[in-house]
Amino acid sequence: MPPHDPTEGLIWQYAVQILYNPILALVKSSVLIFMSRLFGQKESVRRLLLWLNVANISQMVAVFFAITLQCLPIAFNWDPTIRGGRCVDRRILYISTSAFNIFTDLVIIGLPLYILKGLRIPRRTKFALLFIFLLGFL
Amino acid sequence: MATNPGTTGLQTFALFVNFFFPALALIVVSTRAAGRLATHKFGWDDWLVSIAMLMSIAETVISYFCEFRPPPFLRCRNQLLTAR
Repeated sequence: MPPHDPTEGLIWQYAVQILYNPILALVKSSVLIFMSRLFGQKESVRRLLLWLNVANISQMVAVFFAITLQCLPIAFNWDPTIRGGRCVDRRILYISTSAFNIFTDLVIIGLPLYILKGLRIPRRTKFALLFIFLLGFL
Repeated sequence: MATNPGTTGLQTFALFVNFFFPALALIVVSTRAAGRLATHKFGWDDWLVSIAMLMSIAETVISYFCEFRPPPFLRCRNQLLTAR
């Protein structure tokens, strides 16, 4: 039985890593634009959403490059025998990107609560809306 | 790859996660897109989430192909190399 060759798995894992963060950021960007479609009449809210989206997109670009270039040369990701190849400290890279992702997640799930608080609508409607938005926790 | 780790409960669970959540997302996203199209209100947010959905499907397929497929079908590296 030949020994286990992880190369193919590693190549695909690299591809998945590159895809993963832009997906998250695009979804968040979509949610933010959606919210500014809903609550955009208020200038202050629209500006807040815009700035959050700028931060979100910048994070997407930064993390994309950090993940893509985590090892140089790139083939070092799946072929650790390459001489002179080196990687960043991946533990720090993964933990910090995850921390940023979780932070923006929480901000985005919390935003509707903040916006709804200032809305002048009947209490029942407010709770109904709150429930709908909190479904996003799924 | 010849070593077969065997199917454990964890692997089955991983397969479930790999397909269930993207499927759930696909249902929600397509319902939403259909609604927006029907009312002629397809906007930026819909474009972004649709692109994200396509990428997510790609990710699901990739995850399945080389991490979960049984050994006889594990030829993804060759396919990748010939595709270039």
